[in-house]
Amino acid sequence: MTRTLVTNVAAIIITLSIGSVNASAQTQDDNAGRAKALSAARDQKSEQLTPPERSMTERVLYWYDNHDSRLSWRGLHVNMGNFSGGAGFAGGIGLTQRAIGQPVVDPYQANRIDLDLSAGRSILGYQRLAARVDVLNIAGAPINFAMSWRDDQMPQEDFYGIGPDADHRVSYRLDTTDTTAALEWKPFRRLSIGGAVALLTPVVGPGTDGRYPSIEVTFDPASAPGLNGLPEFLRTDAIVGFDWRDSSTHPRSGGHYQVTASQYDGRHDTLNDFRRVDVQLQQIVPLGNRYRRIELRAQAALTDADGVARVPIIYLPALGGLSTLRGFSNGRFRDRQAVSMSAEYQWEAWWALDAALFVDAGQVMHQLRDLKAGAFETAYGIAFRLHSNSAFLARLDLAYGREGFMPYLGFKYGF
Amino acid sequence: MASKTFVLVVVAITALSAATLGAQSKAPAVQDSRRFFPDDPLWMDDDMRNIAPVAKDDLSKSYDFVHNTFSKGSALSGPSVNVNTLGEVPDSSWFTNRIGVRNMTIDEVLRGPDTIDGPAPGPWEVIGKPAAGITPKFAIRDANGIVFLIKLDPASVPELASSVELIATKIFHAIGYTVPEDFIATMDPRELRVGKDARFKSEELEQLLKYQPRQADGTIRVLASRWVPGKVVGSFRFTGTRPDDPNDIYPHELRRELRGLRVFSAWLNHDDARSINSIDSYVEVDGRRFIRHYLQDFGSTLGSGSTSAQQPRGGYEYLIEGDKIRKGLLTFGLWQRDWMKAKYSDLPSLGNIESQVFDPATWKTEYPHPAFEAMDGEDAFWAARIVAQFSDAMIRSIVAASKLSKAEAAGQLTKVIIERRDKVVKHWITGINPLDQFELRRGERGPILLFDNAALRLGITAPGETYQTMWSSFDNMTGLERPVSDVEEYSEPVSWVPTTEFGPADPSGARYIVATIRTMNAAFPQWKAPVKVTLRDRGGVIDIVGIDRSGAGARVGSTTNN
Repeated sequence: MTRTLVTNVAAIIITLSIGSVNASAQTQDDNAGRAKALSAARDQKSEQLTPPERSMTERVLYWYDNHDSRLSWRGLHVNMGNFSGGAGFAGGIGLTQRAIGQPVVDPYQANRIDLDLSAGRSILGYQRLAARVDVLNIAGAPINFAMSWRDDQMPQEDFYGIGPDADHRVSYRLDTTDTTAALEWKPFRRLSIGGAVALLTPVVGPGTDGRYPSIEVTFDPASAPGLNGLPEFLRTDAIVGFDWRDSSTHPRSGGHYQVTASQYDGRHDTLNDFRRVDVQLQQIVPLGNRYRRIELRAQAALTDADGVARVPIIYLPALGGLSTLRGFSNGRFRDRQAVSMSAEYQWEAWWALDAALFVDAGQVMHQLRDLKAGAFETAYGIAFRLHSNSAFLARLDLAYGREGFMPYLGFKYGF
Repeated sequence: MASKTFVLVVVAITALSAATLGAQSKAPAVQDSRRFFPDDPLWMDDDMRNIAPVAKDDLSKSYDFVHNTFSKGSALSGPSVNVNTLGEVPDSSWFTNRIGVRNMTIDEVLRGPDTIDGPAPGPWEVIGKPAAGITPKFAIRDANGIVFLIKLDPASVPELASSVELIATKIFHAIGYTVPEDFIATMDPRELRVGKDARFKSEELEQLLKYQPRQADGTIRVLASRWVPGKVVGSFRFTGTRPDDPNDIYPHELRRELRGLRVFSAWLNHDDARSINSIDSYVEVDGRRFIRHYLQDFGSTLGSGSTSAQQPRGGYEYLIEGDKIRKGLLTFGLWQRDWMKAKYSDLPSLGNIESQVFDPATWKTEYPHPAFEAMDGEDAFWAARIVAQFSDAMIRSIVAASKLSKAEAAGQLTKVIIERRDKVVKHWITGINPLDQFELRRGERGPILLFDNAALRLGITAPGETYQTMWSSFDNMTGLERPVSDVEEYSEPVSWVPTTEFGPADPSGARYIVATIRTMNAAFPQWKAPVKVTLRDRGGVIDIVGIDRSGAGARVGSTTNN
């Protein structure tokens, strides 16, 4: 039975309290005690002591913790070959030295010298040798100079013909050695102005892709300019860019706008001289917060040549591949002018993984006035980008176009 | 294997016999397994017995992450076993009761563990650069020959890491943990000399300091953390025991102070509360050599992530949670985690800390933490009572001691810490029957058991509940309880002790009676789970020997959040 007493006993207690009764008097009982039991447990353990041991897994991970995890040794490291799309699985080695001659790597150190050497090869026979020296913060000013040399052997590049309706896939070989000197000045943190001079020595030849005819079987120099041989080119570039993204490799807001104007001059040969302008616009629009956003990109590559001069196929603006018009293979569409745009809805699925739904559209044409609103090729798909808290690590883009499904795996950010 | 076997043996002993400090378990009594010993309640667990030197036991941080993220169920569960019969944590090499059992003055809290006033001015000799950790730091010997670890604030978030580390050190010390002596210090780079044996180049030092924000006189604000006394012999783990330390008999995941650390860590957003941020040091005190256990490196607390502002995920989601990754992918961003909606101050010295989205129940470390996973309602209640002891004025003073240069930053941080404290206390105090502060007084009809409701005392709930009490005689040798009263219901937290109904005497001559008390409040149905209070009569002298909240001590575990 439950008795309910509603009383105000607290006051009574206070009135009647004459002292606590929880004194510490204790009856002697020497044979039993909590402290004694605990002491006995410790005595027991002291008879069974063993040194700490690590499991095999822990030993391996302990070794991993205490060694360089980047598979590198004194700047020597393995890489993924750094080829463009279509080269197949590749691997290589590189040597990277930052701030040569300095005890520490200081991003703002005047006249800092960095060196990168790399060599790679793919399962499809692509080869690359590259060397680059950067001189950063020249005389303490925000001016950087880079000198680079690169030798590429690309035995099975794709060519479909020129124009939006071209559809004769062939393969060709492109070997080229490029030597470039570039200067960049950043008068403000977000603004960069630069120029470059490059010596290009391209050689076009028969392709090795057994699935498709070699280029000379289907095309001739009239339909594929440059097929009958190319001169050395001297390329001069002028570049201006404005970048206000919050990160250059994993942006969540801001924009990046860049225009590059280039002049290609064939040495001892004016028939292949041309001009090219590349416009790249990127804008990221957060949707309420940084975890959902729309990314818009627009790109245009415009070329122009005087008189009877031609633009070689290897330098023609192209669409298709990871950078433009995913859903079509690399260089699927080529012509004098190319415009493309892309819209991505991106969301953070995990702190280290962004996902994106995208739609790409693009069109090539001989002249800009040929641009037709209804003639855009389109592709759509889903993409995944693995990243750390601040930097891009890898991407997988799964794209669908009218020619089917195209997966792209990449390890570099950018378009 | 011997050590693992021993752990299991000790657990069995502590869980099933009177050799446990937490003696009010429901385990059957065997042999002389009396529930209460004459020296109960024990307030000192003498685990500072002299031991032989031990080898260093460094933990692999990767293994700690991998093991705790992907290996489930290796930790022990069940109630904490290192508590005394009142449910309190005795003093030991792990914990020293401070603000939880006595009033501390603000000055005392601010003094913390400090025995000196910081590094002495004058030339500082740089003696090395520790490899562990990610915070830029180096070790110096000051003009008095005392060694400090100098930690630098990230240049992008000046004052952040040093301020949170100082705040956390003061608070964790007041709670009862052993922590290093930390100081906000002013370092004059011109007074630094790299020692011959430093294995640290002058150029490296220059580089470290090159972009540090300078004060007007060219000095740099740093956190100086005094090298802990003794010989560092590794970090402690949050499971098992150290097999070469005879003093270490309680599996760490069953230690209340390590389980309750979850509550304190949630309060201060110490998401990096993992093994590598602890120190086992082989010390000598009063001629006895033993291992003392330190918490250290609080650079990733509050709004700081050590080398940057805290990641917004920090404290809300483990690094890897498969279900959330799937949900995040498959909902195309329509599902947003709560933490994605958090708003933070624009002040760099505060980093990313807030109190509105913060949820004490779902707060998380960087990856699963075995002791935190094992925390139950009793552990949390124990911890929340301690958190409640920190007054607004005390928190304000602690924040002031961190010497944030902007008064606005100090004000905002104080407000956030107070609001987080209130959330923590409210959640965990009300999680179980919150009866507290039991004492015996002499009433007109004899002794009266008086107690209070911690939730009421702390202003969390309004009055209105009633208390149902039933008395039972208790046989200390068999563990049997025999009801000796009806259930009485009072509107006041009080009950007369039926002094004639004590149970049979045990070998020490003591007799016992148990009050089983339920709190009836419609808003908190979980308060019906009883608290059992055991009184002991030793020759007419009655004291409170046991408080058992295990009836309300359901495992808390790791709850899911949005």
